[in-house]
Amino acid sequence: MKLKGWRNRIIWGVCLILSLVFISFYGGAVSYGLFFAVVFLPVLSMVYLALVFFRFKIYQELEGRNVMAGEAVPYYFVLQNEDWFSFAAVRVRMYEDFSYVEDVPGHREYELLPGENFRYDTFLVCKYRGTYPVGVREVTVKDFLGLLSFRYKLRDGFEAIVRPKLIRMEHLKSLKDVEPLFSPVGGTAKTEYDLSVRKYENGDSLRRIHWKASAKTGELMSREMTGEEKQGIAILLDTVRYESRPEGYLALENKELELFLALGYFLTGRKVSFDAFFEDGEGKRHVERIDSFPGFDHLYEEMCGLEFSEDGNAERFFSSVGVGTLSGYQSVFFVVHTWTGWLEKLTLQLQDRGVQSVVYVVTDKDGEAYSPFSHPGRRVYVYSTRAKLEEVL
Amino acid sequence: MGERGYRSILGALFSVMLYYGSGFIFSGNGGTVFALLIGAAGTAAFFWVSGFGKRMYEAACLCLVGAAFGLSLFRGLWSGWLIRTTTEGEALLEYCGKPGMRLLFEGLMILAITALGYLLAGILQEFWRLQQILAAGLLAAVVASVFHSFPLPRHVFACVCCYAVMVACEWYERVWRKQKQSGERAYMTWLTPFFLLYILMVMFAPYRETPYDWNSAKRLWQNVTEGINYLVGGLFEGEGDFLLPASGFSERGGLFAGVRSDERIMLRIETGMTIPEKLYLGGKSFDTFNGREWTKTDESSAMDTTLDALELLYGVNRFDGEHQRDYIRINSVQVFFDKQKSKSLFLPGKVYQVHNSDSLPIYEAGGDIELERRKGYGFSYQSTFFRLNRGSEMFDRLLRENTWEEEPELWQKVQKELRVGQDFSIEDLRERQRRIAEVYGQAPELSERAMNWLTDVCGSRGNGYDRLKALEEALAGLTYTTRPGEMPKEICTPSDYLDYILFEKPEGYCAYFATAFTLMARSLGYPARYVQGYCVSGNSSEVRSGEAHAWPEVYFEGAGWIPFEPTPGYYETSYAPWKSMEDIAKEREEALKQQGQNYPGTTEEHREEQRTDPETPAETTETEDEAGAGPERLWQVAVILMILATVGLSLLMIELLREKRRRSRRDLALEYRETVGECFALLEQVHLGHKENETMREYGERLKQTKIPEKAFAFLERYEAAVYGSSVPTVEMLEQVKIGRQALYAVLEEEKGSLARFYKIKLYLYHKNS
Repeated sequence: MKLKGWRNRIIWGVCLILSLVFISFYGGAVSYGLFFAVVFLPVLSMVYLALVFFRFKIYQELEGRNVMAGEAVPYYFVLQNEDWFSFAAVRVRMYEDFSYVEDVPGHREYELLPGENFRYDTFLVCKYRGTYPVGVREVTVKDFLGLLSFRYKLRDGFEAIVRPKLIRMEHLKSLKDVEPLFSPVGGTAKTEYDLSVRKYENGDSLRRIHWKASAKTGELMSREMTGEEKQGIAILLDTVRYESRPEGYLALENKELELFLALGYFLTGRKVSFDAFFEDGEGKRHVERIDSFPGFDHLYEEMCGLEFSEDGNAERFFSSVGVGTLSGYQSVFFVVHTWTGWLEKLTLQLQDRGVQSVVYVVTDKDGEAYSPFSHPGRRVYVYSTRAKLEEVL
Repeated sequence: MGERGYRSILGALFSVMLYYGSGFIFSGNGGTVFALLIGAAGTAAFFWVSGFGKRMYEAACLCLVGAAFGLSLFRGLWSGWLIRTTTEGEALLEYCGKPGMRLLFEGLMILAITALGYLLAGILQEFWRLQQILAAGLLAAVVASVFHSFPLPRHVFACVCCYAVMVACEWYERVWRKQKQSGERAYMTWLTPFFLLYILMVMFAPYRETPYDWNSAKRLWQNVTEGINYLVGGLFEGEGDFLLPASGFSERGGLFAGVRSDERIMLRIETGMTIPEKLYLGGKSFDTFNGREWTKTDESSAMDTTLDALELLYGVNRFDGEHQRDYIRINSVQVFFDKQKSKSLFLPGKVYQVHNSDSLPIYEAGGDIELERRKGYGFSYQSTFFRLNRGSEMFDRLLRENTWEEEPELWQKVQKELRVGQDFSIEDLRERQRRIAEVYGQAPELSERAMNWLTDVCGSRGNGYDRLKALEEALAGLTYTTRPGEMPKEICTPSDYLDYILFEKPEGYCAYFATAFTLMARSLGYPARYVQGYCVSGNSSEVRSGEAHAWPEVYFEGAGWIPFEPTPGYYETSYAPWKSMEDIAKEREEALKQQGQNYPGTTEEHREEQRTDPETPAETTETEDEAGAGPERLWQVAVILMILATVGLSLLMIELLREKRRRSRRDLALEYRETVGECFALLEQVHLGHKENETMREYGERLKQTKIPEKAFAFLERYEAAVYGSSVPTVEMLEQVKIGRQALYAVLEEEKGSLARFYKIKLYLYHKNS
């Protein structure tokens, strides 16, 4: 196959050698003319390719620039010859890293005479949330002599703004043990102070501080809430960017957001209120109280534009939320990329306070390594970036 | 559009080629270039745009328009076109004169050839193989024209090349698998601008009448390879001397343990006249010896070389000016560097003019002529020098008896005679003599043994020159070897060296003997120097590295530097004196007396001289009349055409046989599809082709309205079912289609007449699959 592609070049090379031998022994217009006739062929090819490079047009359109990840959107591209000479062979290559085109033409070459065009209607699927170029990536043009080809990146490509995929779940397999906790009437937080006091923890309300005990012990002490059961669910999202290259972070962030939104949507559907904690790209902490679909829609819009930050620090974020704040919830869900010691410590602290923790780790590493961390008070689930949440969640 | 356009383009190409072919045959000249090109282009444009190419008479009218347009442009008389035409028309009517007839003939020829070109293009378009054969044949003819010095016009050659490229391009297009919406002819038509550009590029490409001189490439290659050789040799063989192993010549004056003999050609030389004696080409001279190695301290930039030649000429003229030619003769030598890489110029002694090929400045450094940088392969220089009649009695007498006296008038006369381009005063010469005596005259301290040896060898000779000759002869009696071995480390003075060479190990190669002679010549009171270079046979044209040599030169006032040859093996053959004019005259007289004839030109020798000069141009044959060559060319063209026709017909037969075989092996379904395809093609030939978006039913209804018999298209109904339904072609269906095909053939014959056979062959070979 490779030799076939080089056939014309080999023939040209042989002709060149023969012409060189010819002019070594014979002078005159014809022998030199033959030499230049061979030499000028690649020159002619280059001129032709240069013209095609400047004159070839591709038009492409995506139905709606805002698409949802995983959704097949109508897309078409048109190869157009608006010029006065034939385009011998044009081949296109699509972006494949973060999106793909269904029934892509592949290695097909197109010949376009003046005025001709070739339209290809298909569907485009963006795999991940984000803003990135889609559609035609490169164009390869070949000359009519089969000597030279020129590949170039499309100058006028376009980008798609891809929203995260919203997975609608009826049940969460990972939470079947604790599903009763998600009933609208289940789970309440304690409302009365207990007799027991404990050390002050970051995030504890000032009203809970037991000043007398604090004066006695010399350090701040907080009252333990008792009475009714804790209520409310918190979902914390790790928004740290762990890779610098899009090939590394897009899939990961996409999966985290999907998971986060799938959980949120599930809870909203069950009419279970929850608080969503996350940091934006500038390091500012956000807390969104979601108790209805409009609220969830607002959260979704925020997630669409959410920027993960390379400067972010998960430990810092979770610490800023604090055990004290989280202790007020019945269950806390963590959507993270890495399982660290501080996360383990945090979840243990929550467990001590009777808060159920569920940690979703999105990683491509072996999930078996995380199974020792799971126990009744704390569940750890591992999903890869390629996991189909509809099936595993 | 694609068919017509492509045919027009090919037609234009063929018209140009045919015009020049026919013009060459009939009239011997190329005719009017632009007229034909524009005429053909105009014709092609008309065909293309108007779509009138279907009928031959319309084509002829358009050819006329195009040709007239082209002719008038060529004549360059836009404003006077009518006048010119009218004038010539009148001339034609009144006088039937030549200008008018020529115009008419030219016009008719252009018409005929343009029409022929278009017809040829049409035929070739139908038979692809013929196009390939024609392209190959034309290229072969072009190549053959070079071998037979056939003067092919450049525009024809450019058209041939373009046509060959177009055929190759179409060939490639036919096998290229890609998504297409049109046929290859439309594709090729729209590539025409590039083919026109290609024709122009080829037509105006530069050329030379002589084959390409690869010297620059050769030079580069040589320089690279020699550089590697020098490096390798110097690192591994030359004891740090990078030049010696590669070239034999060294810019250092070392005495090595051994030298190797090599056959690599370092220089090529051409002498003005054959030199029977050895030719010594000096490269570098040295003045100071430390017991193991010669070094050069004399870096004087005075024009020593030229002064040396002047001094000799002056001395000879003073001594015996009337018989100057018995002592010296002018000669020249051109030296070409081959594998040599050096900044030293290798020159014979007594050089007074040097010119180099690159016009580089040359410098004198202590009597040696050098360049600023090393040069290698391809560099050459020419020098004029005095050849010395060494070994002759007369020259020996000059060296023996000449004394120095200043004669300013003679000195000026000698300078004028030599025309060296610079005035030297006699003081310059004196200054030079003083410097030479100072630098080259320092006598070494000889040991008592060496002194005795020298006295034994030279003592009986009264004259200084005779003593030197005796010394030369004595050293030449020692043993020559290329491997004398390493000298003991204790040898560190000239005296030690002389004791070593004379008594301990009296053997060595040229450098050893030259060194010994130089030192002892100085001891005898003569300034002497050690020279390295090459020594070759005078009639040799190649100087090999094994011919590198070292020799001594002794300075004689009034004669300059005179070389000696003390090396065993070289001594005996270094001199080949020529006879003096007096001796020659005496010999002639003797010969005449013996033959008893008076006329000096009747001896065998003189008859030899008077034989016809072989360089006298031989009588040339009559130049052939171009008109006489016309029939021969016509015959050649006819032979070529016959060969092409034979090959073409043979290929056609082969194609037909192959197709027949293929048809016999196809299955029913394929046969059915192909037969249907033929029927569709036949219908298209009679202008009843299937239209786009027309269903088979509609097509059948339309055909019913025509004069085509119904059996010719009865297959359409069942064909529709076979294509869109699930029915499989049966024998019955096939028979029906065949009947339809027969009927359509009959219709075609009725419409096209004898041309129908042509279409049948075309269909047979290029069936269409429906």
